[in-house]
Amino acid sequence: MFTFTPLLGAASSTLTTLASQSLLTFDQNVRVLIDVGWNDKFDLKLLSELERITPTIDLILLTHATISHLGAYVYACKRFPGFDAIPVYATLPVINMGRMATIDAYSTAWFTAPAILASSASPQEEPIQPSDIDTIFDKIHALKYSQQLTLTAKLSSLRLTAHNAGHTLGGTLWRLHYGQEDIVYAVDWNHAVERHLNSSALLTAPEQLSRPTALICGARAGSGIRRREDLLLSAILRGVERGGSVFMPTSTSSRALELCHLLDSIWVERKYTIPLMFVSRAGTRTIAYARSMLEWMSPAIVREWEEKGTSPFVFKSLKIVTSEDEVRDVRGPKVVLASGQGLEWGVSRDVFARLSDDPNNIAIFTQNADCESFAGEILMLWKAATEGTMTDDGGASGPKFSRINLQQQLEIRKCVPLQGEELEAYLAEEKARKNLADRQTAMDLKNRNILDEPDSESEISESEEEHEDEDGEDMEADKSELGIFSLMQDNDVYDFDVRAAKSLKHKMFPYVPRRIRRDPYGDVIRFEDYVRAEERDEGVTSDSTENVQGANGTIGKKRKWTDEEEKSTVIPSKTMLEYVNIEIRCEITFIEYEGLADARSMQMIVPQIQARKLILISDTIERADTLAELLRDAGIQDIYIPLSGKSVNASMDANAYVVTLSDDLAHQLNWQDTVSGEYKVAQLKGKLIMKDSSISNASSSGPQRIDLPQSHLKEVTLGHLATRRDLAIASTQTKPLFVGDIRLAELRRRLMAEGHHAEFRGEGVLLCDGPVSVRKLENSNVLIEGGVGIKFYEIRKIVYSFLARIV
Amino acid sequence: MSAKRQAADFEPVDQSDYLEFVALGGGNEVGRSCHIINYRGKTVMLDAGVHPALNGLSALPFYDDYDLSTVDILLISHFHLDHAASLPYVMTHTDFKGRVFMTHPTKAIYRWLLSDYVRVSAISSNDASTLYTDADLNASFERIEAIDYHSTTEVEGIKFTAYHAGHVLGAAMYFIEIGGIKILFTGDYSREEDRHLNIAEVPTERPDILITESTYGTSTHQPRVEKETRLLNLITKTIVNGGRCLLPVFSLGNAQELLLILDEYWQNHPDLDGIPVFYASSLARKCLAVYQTYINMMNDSIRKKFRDDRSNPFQFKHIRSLKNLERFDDLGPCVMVASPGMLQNGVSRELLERWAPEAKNAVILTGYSVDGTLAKQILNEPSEFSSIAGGGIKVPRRLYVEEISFAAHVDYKQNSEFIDLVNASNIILVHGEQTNMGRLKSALLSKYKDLRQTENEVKVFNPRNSEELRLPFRGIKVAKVMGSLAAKPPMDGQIISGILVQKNFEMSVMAADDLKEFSGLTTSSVIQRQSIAVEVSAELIKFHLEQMFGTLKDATAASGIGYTIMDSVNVFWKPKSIVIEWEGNMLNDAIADSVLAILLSVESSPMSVKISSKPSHCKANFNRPEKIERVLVFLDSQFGSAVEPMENPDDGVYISIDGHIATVNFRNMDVICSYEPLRSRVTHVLDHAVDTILPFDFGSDDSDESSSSITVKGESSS
Repeated sequence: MFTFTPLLGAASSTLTTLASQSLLTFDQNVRVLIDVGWNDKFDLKLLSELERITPTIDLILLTHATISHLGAYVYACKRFPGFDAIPVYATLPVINMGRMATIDAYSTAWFTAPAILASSASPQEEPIQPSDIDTIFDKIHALKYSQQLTLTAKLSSLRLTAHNAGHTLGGTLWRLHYGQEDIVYAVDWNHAVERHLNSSALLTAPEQLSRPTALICGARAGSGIRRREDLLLSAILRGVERGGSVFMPTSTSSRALELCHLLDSIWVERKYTIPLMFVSRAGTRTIAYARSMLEWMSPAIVREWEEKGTSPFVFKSLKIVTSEDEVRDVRGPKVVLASGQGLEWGVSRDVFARLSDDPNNIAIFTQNADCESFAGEILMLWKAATEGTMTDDGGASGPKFSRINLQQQLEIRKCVPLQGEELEAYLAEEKARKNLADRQTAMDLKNRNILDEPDSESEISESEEEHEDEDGEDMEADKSELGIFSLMQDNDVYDFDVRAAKSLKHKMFPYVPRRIRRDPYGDVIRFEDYVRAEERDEGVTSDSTENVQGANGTIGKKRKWTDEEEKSTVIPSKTMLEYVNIEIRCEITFIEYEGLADARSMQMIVPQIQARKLILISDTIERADTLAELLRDAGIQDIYIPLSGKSVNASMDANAYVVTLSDDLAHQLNWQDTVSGEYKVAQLKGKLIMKDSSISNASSSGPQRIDLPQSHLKEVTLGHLATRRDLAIASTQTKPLFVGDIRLAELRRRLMAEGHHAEFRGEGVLLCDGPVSVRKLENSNVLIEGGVGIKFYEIRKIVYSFLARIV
Repeated sequence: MSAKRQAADFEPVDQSDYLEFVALGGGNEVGRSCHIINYRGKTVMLDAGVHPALNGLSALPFYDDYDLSTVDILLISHFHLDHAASLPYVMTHTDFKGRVFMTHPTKAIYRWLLSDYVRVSAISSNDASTLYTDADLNASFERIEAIDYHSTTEVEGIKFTAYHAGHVLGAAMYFIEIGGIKILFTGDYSREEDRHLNIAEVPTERPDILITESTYGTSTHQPRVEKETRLLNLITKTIVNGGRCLLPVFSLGNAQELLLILDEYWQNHPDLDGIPVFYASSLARKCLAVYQTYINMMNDSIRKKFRDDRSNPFQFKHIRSLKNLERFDDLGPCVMVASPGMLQNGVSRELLERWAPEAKNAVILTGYSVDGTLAKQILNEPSEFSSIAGGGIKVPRRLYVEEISFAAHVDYKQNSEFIDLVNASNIILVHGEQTNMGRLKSALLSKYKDLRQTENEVKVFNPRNSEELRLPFRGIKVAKVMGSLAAKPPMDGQIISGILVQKNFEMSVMAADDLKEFSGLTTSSVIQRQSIAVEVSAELIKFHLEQMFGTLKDATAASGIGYTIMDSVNVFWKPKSIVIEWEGNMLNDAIADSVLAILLSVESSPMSVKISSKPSHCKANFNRPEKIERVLVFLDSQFGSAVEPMENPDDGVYISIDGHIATVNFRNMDVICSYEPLRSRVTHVLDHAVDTILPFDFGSDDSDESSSSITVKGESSS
């Protein structure tokens, strides 16, 4: 039983958004959330459904490192209770780049101003710090492509593997197995090889994705235009040659990599001197991450590295800057890639506000944006303005430039350093918070130490007196382990969370005195006490840091961040809203650089996957319908187009179970190879023998019927048929047949090779040696016709050799 | 599970139940690792190294002992020469056709390392002994496929996954699955947490066979902390005394680890700022970029550093690279990390010879020293050693020699612990000197002696080079029942009959009708049609077929009378010919053949004669015009154009030959002719014709009545 519910991203009457969130439900028992996307405006309304279902989600999978695929993840972790406890899986680049995209987006949106004192948006809520984002992303489990993953507990019957999507670095197609259900989730993928990305596994390794029971495919398609590099370059040159600047908004850490690499190599190759810059709050780190993940990129990138000796993401012409001010400092014409394709978050809004009023400038949009976003609005106007001139050649005749008339008041967020009283107030508050946090840490540590007192020892009941003697010493030891924090805590106050306590008795009185162990030889020697000085030094320090970081990673890291980051790099500042009136006078154009497969290619590739059911999701119903039409032409029948928030049931109706073949039976098998050599087939007649399985994991490891408890308990063996009666029953159920397909052309080749004469006569008739003819009938059947004679039998023998015979 | 796949507790019937293991190199030796596994027709080759102490062809594994063209895949565990250096030779100079896999960092470093190897071996030896050229290296390089850790790759039914091995960057253990048999090949591995590498992982699944290295046999390493302290203390002491410290290392592997240790130590001890630390290895310098790139394949602590410090840990702050010795001002105390590690030649040898006479200097050997190299020799602290310059020049040795092994191999403790965790029932030891390997084997055997003769018995093997090891295995044959066969839950005693489909060792059972849907295989039928010319009646055929096959089904269609024999073969009767039609398969073909045999013998069978000799059965039923027609046929064939019908063709004909005319009257079968020879000839023909047409009833009296009575008789007899 499998139901699919697009929470966001599918067509809907009320809202259109590129954000993607999908819920996959198996047997109404296991719920998997794929993607936690958000729109460019960070509309809280979109997350209400997600918040509602948070307690029921068992697993989260992320596909792409873009805001529309994981933008809401950190927000949900911080704000929705329980969300951060759900296990999350993603590929390493999605984790790293997703981290960068989130930091970039959140730091320019209202909820993560470094200091929130002056923020009007939500004063009651604690701001989301960059350190929080790091911590939250650290929690995600990293996966490789086609890594075999075993999950535990409730999810143990779910198997999932990641495959390359080709849309972004580390972008993922998920394949999920649950019992009979076998789902491929392929939203946003690209079959074409790009500069830094391999083409999607749908094209390169279809055998790993083939024959799912349901394929969930995104209907958002690229335009499939050719020579887009040239188009982009000509558009850039058009602006630069007349002394203007070129502005390109892009998504922070996914598509930007492609554009950065492309433009930098063009600049190097053609020795351009026009300043080229990529502006993003997280730009430097993004590129540093990119350099460390070459193994996820296309072999061309690695080859480039081998040939040039320098990493492909060490740019020679492209300058990475982190704020709009640095862009402003560069005078004259320039080419600016700015993060935030929607002009809502990121630096793109500021840059655009500055550059848009010069008629010499050009803004090149390379990605579709949410239609509610500012970029979406501009693109809508652009489309309307170019409507008349648009031709249906997929943009082959070159990009359309247009000017639109739009005057708008833009809200621009600025970070202003705190000064004077504000700064003092902030510092005071920060200090108080830090104190509180430290106290909390100390308390937690202490409590944990108490709770973690050796349980095992207390189970061995030895004489009570012994440990009473040692109480005092133990307290001393505890104190020293706690370090200075224990001093801040009143010794008599015990306030701790016993909900997670290991044994019942902690819940009553959580004080367990430590006991000295004795064996027949007296006190057990503690090895640590006798370590040589130089070893102890190293050992203890590494041990204790590990303790803090390993067991209580959040706290350890947080402290590090507050110490290093906030004090050294982040100046206390506040977010101010500024209203600017802008008038768009620059030229606007759109050159698609989304990295998505075009509809034509989808029509070619999707049918090859041979999914039993196809679910299309798309932001508009028209787009889904168009694609569905194309795919129906290609022979796919079962297509569902769910609306946002509506479930579709795409269960697989067939059943299956697993049997073990007995040795006797296995030896009887008469294996036949198919012509392709890929498959072997054999007739099988056997009798089921059910045995109580002594080893339960033997049966549960295989794909089993979930709703069939007895097959879990029993080991099913297929034995050979011993009695004549069984044989008789079996033979009534079977008929002999041939497996394979005969192509007359191949047959002719073989016949000729074996010294026969064969020629085609009319429609699908092969005349062999005169008296015998081979004719192709419908359903891949073949008719051999001829008189009695040796030729007939010779030719029949050759025809048979093309087929695997099951008798 | 253990009981199920226990080796050797049954007699394998099949050759394919044996797993073959051959060490072409690395059996009872360290160096030229190369192992072959063959099971169920699939062949996996592990590593392709050279022997560091040998030259030319003799350094190769014994490739002649195996047909390399049968190898499906070759997996390289890591980039060290004794594991990878004969790969270009295999790929370009043998008939090897398989695919080659290694991890990304291995591939990146392999290229540098091997081109260095090609260069060095070209210089140090004559042409005959170079195994391959740069061109070979480049040609083969493109064909190597890079894989990532933990990703499972499947090649023609062989599944394999790389796990971290901890030995050097990119070192992999391979978990291989062929037809249900799981094999773990460790390569060189280490279980000791160091500064940048992940320790060797224990795979989640339990393998049936563990192929493990045994370099250190039963010896035990010093704890890491102690080793580091000793190293740093010794270095500090030497420097403080104004001496120079030489650390000969292999360019890649523990060199990077040592540099990390030194960089960290210098970072923590600002008082050492003035003392320079160098590394003199162009190879290490080139490969540093690889280390800087593949940070994500290293351990958590270094990744955390990378994330938090925003700088690459492999951009050293206190260590300088030394391009060549000419630029080196040997003025005072310094620390020098130089390659090669066994002091065979190059920078480390040159510096050793320069520094050896002074007692305040020190050389610290950090790697594994192979027998026959200077490194091994100098460990015995000789008073002098021969210079590389040759000519019998001896260099006095007064400098301090110390061995602190940072070789990233497991010791006995780690190895046996790992073997326990992996819990395989068959252990094959490779990559170890004979004595070390033998000790390890007996140590393991005595450790597991309690399990002997039980189902959990652990077997340990240490095959020599080229010695074939055959392990009997019975792969569990598990099949998935799908489609309509599985519509009902399985019941005891239920009879299953369907098609078993196997692809890459995965089997499924399905009904023939489901074949296309579940496996994509098409079924086709071969319909066959044979026609034979037989002029017998349909009834006669029916009779004969019934004699042989019992009841026939009627299959009469528009095309003619037809019968179905045994529900499989159709026979259609047409006057003068019979068509047999059936759907080809083994049974039907046999039936069709026997039908054919019957039909061919119908005409001549005595039975047919007997049946058709019944009067009723054979009496011709001709009416008059037909009779006349037949008579005419006879006359025609005898006299040809001489026959001329009368005005009323029923009455008779004239036959005129050479001016004589004979009149044949059909009414009374009378022949009138004045010319006697013609008359008697025509009469004779006519008599013969009448005999033929009405063989039994035609009387000798040729009167009008009798003639008409023929017709009457014929009619009455029908």
